[in-house]
Amino acid sequence: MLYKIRDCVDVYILKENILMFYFINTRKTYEYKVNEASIKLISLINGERSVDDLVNIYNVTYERNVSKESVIQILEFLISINVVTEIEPNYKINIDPRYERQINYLSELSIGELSGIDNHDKLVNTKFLILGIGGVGGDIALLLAMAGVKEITVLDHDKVTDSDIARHMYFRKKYIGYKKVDAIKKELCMINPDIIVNCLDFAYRPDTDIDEWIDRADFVVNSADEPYIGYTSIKLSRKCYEKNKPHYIAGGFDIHVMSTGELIIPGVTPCVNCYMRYFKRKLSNWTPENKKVHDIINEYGGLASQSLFSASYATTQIIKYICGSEFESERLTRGEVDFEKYSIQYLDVKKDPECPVCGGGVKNEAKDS
Amino acid sequence: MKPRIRSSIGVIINPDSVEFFKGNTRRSIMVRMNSTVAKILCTLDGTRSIEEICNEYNMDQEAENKFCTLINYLVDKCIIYDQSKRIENEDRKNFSRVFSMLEDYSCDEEVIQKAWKDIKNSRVCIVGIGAVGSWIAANLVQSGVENLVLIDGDVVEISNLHRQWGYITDDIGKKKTTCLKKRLIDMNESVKIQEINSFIEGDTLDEINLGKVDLIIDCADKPTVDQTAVWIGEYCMKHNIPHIIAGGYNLHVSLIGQTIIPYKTACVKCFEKQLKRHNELELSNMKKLATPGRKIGSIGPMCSLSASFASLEAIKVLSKLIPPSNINRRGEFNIYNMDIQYHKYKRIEECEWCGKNGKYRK
Repeated sequence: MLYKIRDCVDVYILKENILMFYFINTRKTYEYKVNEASIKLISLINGERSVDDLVNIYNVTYERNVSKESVIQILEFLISINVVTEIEPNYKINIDPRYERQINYLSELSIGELSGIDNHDKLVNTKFLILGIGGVGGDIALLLAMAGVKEITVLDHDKVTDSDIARHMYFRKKYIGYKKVDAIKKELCMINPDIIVNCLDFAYRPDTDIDEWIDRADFVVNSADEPYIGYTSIKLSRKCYEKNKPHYIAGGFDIHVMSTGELIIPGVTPCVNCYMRYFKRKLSNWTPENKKVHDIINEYGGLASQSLFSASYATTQIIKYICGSEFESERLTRGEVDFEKYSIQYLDVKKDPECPVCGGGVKNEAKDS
Repeated sequence: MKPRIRSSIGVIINPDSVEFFKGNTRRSIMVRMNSTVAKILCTLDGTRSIEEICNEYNMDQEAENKFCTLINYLVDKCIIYDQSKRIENEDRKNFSRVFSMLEDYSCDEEVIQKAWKDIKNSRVCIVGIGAVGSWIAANLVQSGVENLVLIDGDVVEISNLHRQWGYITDDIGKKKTTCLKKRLIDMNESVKIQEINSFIEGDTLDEINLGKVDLIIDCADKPTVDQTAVWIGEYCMKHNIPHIIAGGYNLHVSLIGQTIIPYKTACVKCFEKQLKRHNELELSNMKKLATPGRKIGSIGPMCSLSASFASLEAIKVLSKLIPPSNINRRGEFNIYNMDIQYHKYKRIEECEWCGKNGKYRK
C-alpha cells in the first residue's frame, strides 16, 4: 500500500505546530496540535511511498531512528480523519476519467479508504423513479444522468409544447409534440449512452397503481404538479413510507417558485403528513379567496434559473443522502429562497408525534428493530 | 380600462384588512378594505370595464370614485393589470413566466414591453462556457435572450461531461463554442450566437472587436479566476458595461458571485482590495505544505446551483426593471449546512479604477 494526501485537502502549518487541514471542496477546516516530527513525516507523503519507504526516507533525511510502529500510528490517525488515503500502486487505472472530478468531490462526503469511488458506485447504482419531468423534475433527471446514474424511470402524461422552452433544460424545438418522457429519454441517452430509461406516459391519479415501479426504485423523486401537488405528494409519500423508500418532494409548487423542496427519509425526517399538519396549523387563518381567473398555469411558475436552483439543491441533497453524508437536522426541512435577498428561509417543521402516518417516526423505528 | 386581478396574487381576507400575496416574489401588501370590495376584486377577470363593474354592483358616484382610486392604487402596486392594454402574442405565451415575474415590478404594459424587449434584444457575452457558463447560457435562452457571444478556447473533454450542460459524448474533441452554439440553436432557432474560440488574455476583449454588449458574465478561470476578473472588469469599466463574476473552476463549487454596475457599485478593483485584506487576515502565520499534481473535485448540481443565481441576476440586470441583488457582496453556498453566507464589500474612494482619482472615473 502507498500513502497519499487526498487531492481535496490543503495542509497548512499554523504557528506553534498547529496543523490545519482545509477540505477545499466543502470548505471545512480542522486544526490539530502536532509535534515537529509529524509535520516532517506529512511533508514526505506523496502518493508514491509505502510505510517502509517513509520510515527509511525520514530516518535518512532527518538522521533519526523512528520506528515503523510510530509511523503507522501517525498514518492511521491521518486516515481516520480523512486526510490521508491508502492506495494500491495501480489505483489510478480504475478511475473512469469521465467521473474523476466527481469521485474526488464525493470522497469528501464520507470517511473511509477510497470513499470517493465507493460513494460514486453507490450513486450510479441507485435506481431512480421521477414523477413529473417539468421544470424541476426534468432538470433533476439531467443532473442525475450526467452524474452517471444507470437507471431512471420517468413518469409524465404530457407532451412537449412551444412554451416548454422556458421550463425544460432538455427542450429542443424538434421535440415539440413528442411525449415528454420520450423527449427526455432521447436527451438522457445522448448524455450517457449506457443509461436505462423506463418511460411511463400516464398521469399519477387517485387510481394509478405504480407499486411495482416504486418497489423497483431505490429513491423516488416527486415533482408532479397534476392533478395537484399536495394530493400526489401525500398519496405517493405515504406509499413510499409504507415501503420504507427515501424520497424527495421537489418543484411542482404553485406558489413556491424557488423552494428547496424536502428530503423525506422514513423514520428520520418529518413525513409528508407531518408537513401537511404543520401547514394546516400555520396557515389556519390564511385562506386565499377563489378568483375568477383561468390561466393560472401561465402566470405561476418561476424562471428557468429558479427551477434550476430547486433542481440543483434537490440533487445535491439526494447525493449527500446516498453517500451517507452528515446532515444538519434543522436543514432537513423545506426552505424558500427570497427573490430579492437570495437568502434561504427554512421552515421549522418537526416530526409530529401525533402524525397518524409516521407517529413522529416511532412506528418506523419499531418496524426496523 | 378592463381590470384583471393577476392570477399569481393570493387574496386573503382578514376581519379588518385584505392581504395581497405576490406568489412569484413572495411579498405581501396589506390594504384596509371591507370584505365585500375584496370579493368584487376577486371577480375581476379583465372582461369588463370599470363602468360595467360599477353598474353591476349599483355603485353610486361616490362609491365609483372610491373604487377607481382603489383600482389605480392596486395597479400601482402590481396587483391589478389593465387587460385592455395587454399585448397578447407568441412571446407572451411562450415566455409567460418572464412576463409574470416582470409584472411583480410594474403593471404598466409599456414598461413591461420595454423590459421584455431589453431582455430579448440584449447581447450578452459569456466568457468561459464550462461548469458554470454552459448552464447560464441555457438559462438565458430559456428566458428569451436572443443574442449571445460565447468565448472559450477549450474543446470538450470527457471529464467535462458530468457537470457541464449541453455537451454529449459525441462532442468530445470538438470546440466548446461550436457544440454549445448548436445546442442553443436547437432550443431556439432565432438565437444569434457569435463564437469566439479563444481564451482571453490581457487586452483580448479590445482586440476581438466585441461590438455592443449589454452584459458580460465572467466564468473564466485561465490562468486564474482573479486574473480574468481583472481583465474583464477593466474592459467593462472602460466601456461602461455591467458584469457578473460567476466563478470558474476552483471557485465554482459554491460561489454566488457579485454583480457590478460600473460607477454605481463596488468594482473588481474595490473587491480585490478588500478580498486581499480578508485573505491576508485568514492566512496570516500560515505556511502551506505543497500537494503536487492534485486535481480539484466537483459535482454537477453544485455548479448548476451557482449558475442559477448568476442567471437570475443576469435577467434582473437586463430587464432594467428588477434591481439586481448581488451588488456590493458575494456569497458562498455551503454544502454542509445548505445555506448561503454573504460578505459585504463597498465602493472605495481610493480605488484605482472607480475612486475619486481612478483612471476610469466617471
